Amino acid sequence: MPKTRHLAITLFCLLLALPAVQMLVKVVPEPTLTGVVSDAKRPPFEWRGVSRGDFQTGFETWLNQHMGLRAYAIRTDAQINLSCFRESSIKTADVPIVGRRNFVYARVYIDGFNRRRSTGLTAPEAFAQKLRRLQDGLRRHGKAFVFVIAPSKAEIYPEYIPPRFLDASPPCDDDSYLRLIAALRREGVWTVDGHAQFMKHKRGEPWLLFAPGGIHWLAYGAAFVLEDLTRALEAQTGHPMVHLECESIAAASAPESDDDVDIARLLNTWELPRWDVQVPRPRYRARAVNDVRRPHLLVVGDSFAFGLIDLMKRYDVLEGLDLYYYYSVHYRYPGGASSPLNKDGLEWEREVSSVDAVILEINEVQLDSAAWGFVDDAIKRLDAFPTGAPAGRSNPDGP
Amino acid sequence: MVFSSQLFLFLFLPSFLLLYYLTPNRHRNLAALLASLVFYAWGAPRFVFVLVGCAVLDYNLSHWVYQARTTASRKGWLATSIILNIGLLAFFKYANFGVEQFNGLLRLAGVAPLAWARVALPIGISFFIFHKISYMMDVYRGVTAPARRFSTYLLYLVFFPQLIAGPIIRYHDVAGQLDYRRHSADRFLSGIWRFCRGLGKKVLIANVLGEVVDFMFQTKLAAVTPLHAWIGMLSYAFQIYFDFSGYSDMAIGLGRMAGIEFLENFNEPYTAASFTEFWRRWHISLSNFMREYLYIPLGGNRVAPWRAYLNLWIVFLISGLWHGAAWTFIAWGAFHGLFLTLDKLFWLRVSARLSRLVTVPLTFLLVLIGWALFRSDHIAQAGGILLRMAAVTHASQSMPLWADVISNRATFVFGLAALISFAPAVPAVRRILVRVGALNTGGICIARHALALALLVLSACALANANFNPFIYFRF
Repeated sequence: MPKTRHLAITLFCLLLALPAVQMLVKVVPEPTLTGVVSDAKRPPFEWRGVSRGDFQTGFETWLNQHMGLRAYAIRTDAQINLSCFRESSIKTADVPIVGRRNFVYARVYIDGFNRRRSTGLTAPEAFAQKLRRLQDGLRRHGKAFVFVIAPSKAEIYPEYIPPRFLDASPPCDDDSYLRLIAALRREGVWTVDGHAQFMKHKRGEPWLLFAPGGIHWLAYGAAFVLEDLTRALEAQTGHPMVHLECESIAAASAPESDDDVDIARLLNTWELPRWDVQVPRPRYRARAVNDVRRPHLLVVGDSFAFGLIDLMKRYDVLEGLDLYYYYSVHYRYPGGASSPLNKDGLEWEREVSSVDAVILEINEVQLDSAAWGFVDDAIKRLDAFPTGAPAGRSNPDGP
Repeated sequence: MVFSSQLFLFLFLPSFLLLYYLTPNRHRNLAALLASLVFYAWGAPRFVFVLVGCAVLDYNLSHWVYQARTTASRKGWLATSIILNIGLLAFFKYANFGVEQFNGLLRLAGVAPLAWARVALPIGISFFIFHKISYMMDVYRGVTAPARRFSTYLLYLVFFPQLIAGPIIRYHDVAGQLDYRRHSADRFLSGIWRFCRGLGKKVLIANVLGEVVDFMFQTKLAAVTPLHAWIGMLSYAFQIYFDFSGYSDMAIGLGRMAGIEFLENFNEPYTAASFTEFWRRWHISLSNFMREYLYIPLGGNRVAPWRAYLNLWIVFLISGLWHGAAWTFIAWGAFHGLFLTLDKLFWLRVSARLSRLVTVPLTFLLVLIGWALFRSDHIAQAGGILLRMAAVTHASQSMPLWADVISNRATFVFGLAALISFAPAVPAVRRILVRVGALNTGGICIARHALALALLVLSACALANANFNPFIYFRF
């Protein structure tokens, strides 16, 4: 008995001391955690900060992020949450929701799905009119414009959403997405509607368009949108461009890339959920005619843009590309170097004149983001510098 | 600094235990005092001076009370101390509330309100003021002599396990232990078990249910359905019990680790068959304090029945106000005072003839109504929630998602909390629990140690994960 007593006391003291020891000397390597958090800085020790309590608050926040064995603790609790309760305790809009057949969704997309018939984009008609003004402004400078609506996994595969997360209240007639599509058509804005495209393929084909553990479209789904985008660019510029032709599709049961499991990895469990579905792995061939044009594009978009860009890069569709990610970070391709986007110092004339077309890509659940301010800025700045050669055909009847 | 934080668990506590047990026995009070002052200063550095300053004053007053030759002067010194302490509490805790009420009246009269800079509330003031009153009263009554050393008195006031959230320790209950106490592996182990049990109650049960409660109280009343209101309020009943009793368990456990034994603060309160019994089981240290230092000095039961009922009401109104400076707390105190009066008038006699299968749920239901007052921001909100629970009014806005009302983990924890709270009310279960509790075999002890360590690990994991809220990609 005394041995047991002393062992229990020793273990208790060890458990209390180990995290601090690990923090100081890193006894064991810590597993990495998935996801982005704002990094807490260790506050300087000053009497003023201490007396106001700022130091204490800052230190606790810093300590919570840097305590030793933290990743082990987080992964263990997250695994308990998943294995016992099939949920995650993350409290951001990205919280992964584990649904039927282990389909994982980000909460923000389910919220978008739930509110699709009530709120969302508050003034779709006004937004469509702005896009038309932007399209006209770009055309005056000889540039094409395409608006791409990326589909949401929750919209395309609502059948796997857990019932607890579905809004049971009756839908509202005022569907802002349908209103936007109708308004875009009325205004004649060149639009690639990824939602409609995906729904068509979901009905007609056996292949998944989103990976069960991923937040974004699979390459197989993105390729359909890319094809529509290419056609829209060809129609506006009058130049033939590179098209992708599907040579073969292999079925994969295990995720092949991090993108296929990005939202599932955010669960930060020791083991990912297991999936009993097969994911398409298509092989494409770039089809190009002799006088093919490889454009330089300016893409303004969210993380779905990366799926399109990956395809365009892989199959040599482009000459170059600039991505204004969330109209906040500037990625330059080829290479993919990034830097914060200085919106105030942006040289619009140079930026616009160096590209053949501007693509605005927004996911359907983010339509209310008003393109992060890009459309308003672009309209204002395009009017401020002299026009160049007229663009190709206009689109009076809508795409 | 709260016990259920990584800072306390993994920096403060191991440092304290190391310092305490490396210090020679005769200086351990000083080690505990130093740690307690650091603990308090971490949360309220400026108020350390207020705390120590008024402790110096009270320490001297207690000696003057003790040495006074006449009853009048003893009473005078005691009154000085009580007035000073109640004045301190009134200023720091109730001045803002008082000025707000006064300004409300001025506004009604069409007069411009008073300009007032809000007073910051020192952490734990409600507890250490009661400790000081207990000390002065004990010295005045001759129950104990004043502390020989100021450091001993200060340790009684600021000993960190009970400093922030009690239990309220009467001076005579620990005076002897502050001067001399024995440390043993058994006591330390029992402290570990108690601390880990309390930590588990707080982190694994109360915190999880707290999210259910917060969501219900943040939801617009128009969108709260009767089921949602019941889930929210029942969760709150369990949350406050497991939170508060968990904190008391941790305090008792920490005390034992330092060789000091505190009295119990909770004893299965939701198995009470009347309000009288409830207050013998809920926040026992407050009940003891109120009875000993307020109810009995007011005359207790030795006065005319109407006066005894009035005394009871006064005690519970003050008790309500002690919990917080708001009308909801006063209403909660009055509500409990009413049912305690009804107990004395007839209910205890009637309920003695009824089955506990009736009286226990009925008492819990009434206590639950009281919790609606206690948790709400204002009385109208409490009324709205109670009407929803009674299904008198219906939700008129779209309801929140079921997943937001209660998570899967919270559903499990809710069931577990209900089981732990009510199962001891079943006689057969109570017999088993008593029998198991009395067992001290090797196997039981090992299981208890293992469970304590498992609770510590699970709580630490839950705490770390609660602070980790990532986005999938950097966006802005």
